[in-house]
Amino acid sequence: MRRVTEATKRRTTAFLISSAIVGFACLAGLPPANSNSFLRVSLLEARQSAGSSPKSSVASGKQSKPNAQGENVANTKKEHAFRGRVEKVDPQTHMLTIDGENVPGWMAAMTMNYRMDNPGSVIVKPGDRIIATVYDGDFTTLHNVRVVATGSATAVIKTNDLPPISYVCSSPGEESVLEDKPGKCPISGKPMTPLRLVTVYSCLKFQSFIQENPGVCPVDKSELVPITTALYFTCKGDSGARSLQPGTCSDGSARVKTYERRPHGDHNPRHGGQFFMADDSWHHLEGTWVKPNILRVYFYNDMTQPLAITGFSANAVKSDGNGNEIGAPVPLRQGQTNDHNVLELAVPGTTLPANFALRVKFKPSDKERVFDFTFADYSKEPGPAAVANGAQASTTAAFPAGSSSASNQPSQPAASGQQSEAYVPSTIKQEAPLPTTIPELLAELGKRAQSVKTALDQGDLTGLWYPAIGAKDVALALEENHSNEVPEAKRPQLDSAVRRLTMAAWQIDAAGDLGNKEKVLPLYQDFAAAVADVESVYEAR
Amino acid sequence: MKHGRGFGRAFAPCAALVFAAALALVLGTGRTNAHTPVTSRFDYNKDVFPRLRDHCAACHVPGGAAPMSLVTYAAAMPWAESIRDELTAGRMPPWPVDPTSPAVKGGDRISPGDIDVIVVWASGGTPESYTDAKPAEVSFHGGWKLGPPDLKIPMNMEHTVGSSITEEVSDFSLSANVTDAKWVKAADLLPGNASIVRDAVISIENGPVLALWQPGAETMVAPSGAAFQLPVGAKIHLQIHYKKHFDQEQNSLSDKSTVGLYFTDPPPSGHELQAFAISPAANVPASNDSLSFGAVLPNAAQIVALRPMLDRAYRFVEIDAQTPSGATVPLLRLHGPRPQWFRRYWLQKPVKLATGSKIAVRVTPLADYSDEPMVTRKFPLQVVLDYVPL
Repeated sequence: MRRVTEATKRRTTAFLISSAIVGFACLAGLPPANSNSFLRVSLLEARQSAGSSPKSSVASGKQSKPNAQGENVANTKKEHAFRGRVEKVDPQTHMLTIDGENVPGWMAAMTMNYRMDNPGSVIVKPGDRIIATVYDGDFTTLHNVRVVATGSATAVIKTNDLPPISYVCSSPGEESVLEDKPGKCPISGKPMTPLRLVTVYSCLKFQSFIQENPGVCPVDKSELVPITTALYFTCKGDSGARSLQPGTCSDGSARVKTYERRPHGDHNPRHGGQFFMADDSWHHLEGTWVKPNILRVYFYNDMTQPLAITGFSANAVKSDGNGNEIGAPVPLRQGQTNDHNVLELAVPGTTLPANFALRVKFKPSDKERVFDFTFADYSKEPGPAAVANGAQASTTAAFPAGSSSASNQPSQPAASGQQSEAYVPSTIKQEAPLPTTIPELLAELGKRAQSVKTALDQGDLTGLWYPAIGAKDVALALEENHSNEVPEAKRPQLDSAVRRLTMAAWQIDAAGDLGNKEKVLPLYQDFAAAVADVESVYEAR
Repeated sequence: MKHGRGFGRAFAPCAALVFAAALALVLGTGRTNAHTPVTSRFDYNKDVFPRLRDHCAACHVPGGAAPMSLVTYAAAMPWAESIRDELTAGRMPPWPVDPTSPAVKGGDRISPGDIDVIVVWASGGTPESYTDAKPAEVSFHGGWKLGPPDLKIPMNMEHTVGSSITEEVSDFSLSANVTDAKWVKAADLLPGNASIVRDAVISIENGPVLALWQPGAETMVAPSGAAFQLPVGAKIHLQIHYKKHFDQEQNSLSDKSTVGLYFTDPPPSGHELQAFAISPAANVPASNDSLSFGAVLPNAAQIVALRPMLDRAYRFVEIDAQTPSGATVPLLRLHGPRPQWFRRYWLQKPVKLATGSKIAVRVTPLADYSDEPMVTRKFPLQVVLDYVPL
C-alpha cells in the first residue's frame, strides 16, 4: 500500500519558487548572488515607526511627468501618496530601496526598489523617511520625492522585538507559500503580501476569540488552543488602516494589535479526534471514534472551517497495529449529525484499540489518499477546561480583523496599554534546559522515547514529532557533553547511534505529519534501535 | 503545527553533490508551509553557512558539479526543504561510511550535530542572520587535486551531449603513449565541463580499474607497495557519465576531459594490485530481506581497498572476512549507500588475510524506497576487493 506523496507538487513548486526568486531578483536589478541584504528585511532589523511621519506633509499636488513611453501619467493615472523609509541608495543607478508603507489600491507594505523621477533634485540617505507620489500601473517610479523630518517615536513597542516579517500569497493554491523576503507569488505572479506570524490562543469552536496567552474560552469554558496568526496594527474606526508596525493613527491614538487567522494556522482537532492535512495542503480531516463504534470523519478547509462533503468519497478498512489491512474496505456514508462535513461508518464488534486505514477521494477523478488512524479509546468532545484557579480569559483578548463577529464584541483589547510593553517574540520558544548528568539524560532519553512509542501505539501520528525531536536533543546532548566518558573503543558506536537517531527523529517528524503509519513504522524501528544503542553504550561503561 | 528546534554543535566534510540536483528537483521545494513561522535559533550566516561550505561546497558552488549553489543565503534558502530531506535520509553528503566501520581514507562524514543545525534551520523558517556575521565568498576550485599529474591524457576531441539528451554514459579509448612500463599510484579526472560530468570510471583497457571518479571527492593514492602496472602501448578506457543540470536540459553542451596519472616506483613485491569480485548468485530477486553472499579468497592477500557496486540503495552494507581460524575481521560498514555514489574505499590499515579466508557480504535493503530518486547509474550488485597478493 503506497501512501500519498508530495513529490509531484514539490517538483513543480521547486521550479516555480526558483523561477520566482530569480525573476524577482532580475526585476529588482539584483546581482545574482550574495545580494540578500539588498531587498531582504532583516529579521532583527530595527525600524522606525511607520506612523511617525506627519500626515499633513503628504504630497497633494499632481505632477505631470512622462513615463517611459512618454505618456503623461499624471493626466491618465490615479495618483497615490507614498510613504516609506529609505533602506539603501545606489549611487550609481540612483535606485532607492524603500521600506514602503501600505498604499491602498496601489501596493501593500513592502520593501522594494524604486527609481526617482528627479534623482538630482533631492538628496536622500538611508534612514530618511520620504514621501512621494506614485501612479496606478507604475510600480517602479517615485515622483516628487521629498524627505520629511523624522518623527518622534511616539510608539514605544520595540519593533525589533516584533516577529519577523514574512511574505505570503493569498491566491488559491498559493496559500502555503511563505518567504522571508518580498517577491512575486509563484503561480499568480502577484506581489507577495507581508505580514508578521505569531502564535496566540483561541477558542477551539469560537474562532473569533483570540488572545496572546493561554487561558480559558469565555464562551464555552474550554481550554484555549494555540494558533498561528498574522499580527497587524490597526486604527479604531478605520478598518482599512493595517500596518505591520506599531505607531499612531491619524487621530493621534495608538494603533491596536490585531490578529488575523491564517491558512494552516489552526490544526487543532475540533472533536477530540486525530487531525491530518492532505498533501494538497487544502483539505484537512479529523477522524474520531465514537460510541457505539462509529468511525466519524470531519472535513475542513485550510482555515479549519467545515467543508461540505459534496463529491467526497471514502472507505475504511480495519488494520492491525502495523498498518496491515484486515478485511475488505467499506464505504463511509454521510454522517447522522447536524454537521454537514461528516462521513461516517458504523463498525460494530470493533475492540479497542481500533485501527483503520481511511482512503479518501475529494472528487471522483481525484487520486486516493490514505490516512491511518489508531484509536486507543473513544474520542471525547472537548469540554470545559479544568480551571483550578478560576482563571479567566485575559483582558488582552482580541478579535481578528475582518471577522464578522468582531464588530459584535464588546471591546477591542490590547490597545494603548499594550503599546507600551516590549513585545516578546513568540515564534522562537525557549527550550527547557536539559539535565546535565548522564543518568539524568539517559532517564530523559528513555522517557521521551517511551512517549514516542505511546503516541505511535495510540495512533497519534501528528503528535510523534515532539517526543521524537526531544529524544534527539537529549542524545545530541549526551554525545556533545559526555562522549569523553565513554571508552574510546565505544565512541564510534555512540556516534553512529546518535546520527541514526537524529536522522530518524527528523524523518518521523515529517512522516507523522502526513498521517502515514506505513512510513512511520520502519522509521520508528530505526529510532528505537538507535535509542537502545545509545543506552547500551553508556550502560556498558 | 510544529516548530523546528534543537541545539547545534560542530561539523566535518562532504563530497560531491551532483546527484542532489536531480534529487532535490524531485523531492524538493523552495517554500515552507505557511504554518511554519521562524522558530530556528540557528541562522544561515553564522550557523548554517560554515557547515554547508565545509561539507557541500566542493560541488554546490557556482560553477561546480551540482546544479545549485548552497554557499549564499539567496541560493540555499529555496532548497531548504530538499536539504532537509537529503540530510535526514542520508543521501547527502554522499559519504556512507559508518563510524563503526574500519577506518577509510578520505571522505567527509557529517556529524549528527551538524545535521541537526542545518535541519533545524531548514525546518524553522530559514532565517538569514541574527548577527553581523557575513558569509565569505566561496568559489569553485577546478584543478588537479594532487597537483599536476605525471601524465595527462586528454580526450581526443570534444564530446557533445545534444540538446535532446539529458543523460548518457559514453566510453572513450585514449592512448597513454608511454614508451616504457609505468606504475600508477593514482588516477584523476579533470572535467572539461564540470557541470555535466557526473562520474567516471578510469581503467586500463582490458586491465584494472584505476579510479572511480566522483565530483568533489578526494583523489586517493594507493598505499606504499601497491600500484597498477601501465604497460607500453596500453590504452586508457574512460567511461564518463554525463548528466545535465535541470536548467541545462535544452542546451547542447560539450566536454573534453583529461585523465591524469600519477606514477610511482615499482612495488617491492613486483606484483600489481589485483581485484577479486564477489557477486550474489544470479537471479536473486530484490526483496526487503537482507541478502548475504560471499566467496573464498583464492590466495593470501593484503586487502587495501573495497569497491561495493550497488544495484539500488541499501540501509546497510556490511563486509567481513572470516579467517580460516574462525575469526571475523570487519572490512567495511556502510550506512545508507546509494548506487550512484560508487567509489573505491581505501582502508587506512590494509588487512592481511590468509589463504582460505572467506569474504562475507550482507546487504540490508531500505525499509522504504518510495522517496528514493530514480537512479540510472547503477550496477549489478557486486563487491570488488583490491589486494596485493602475499
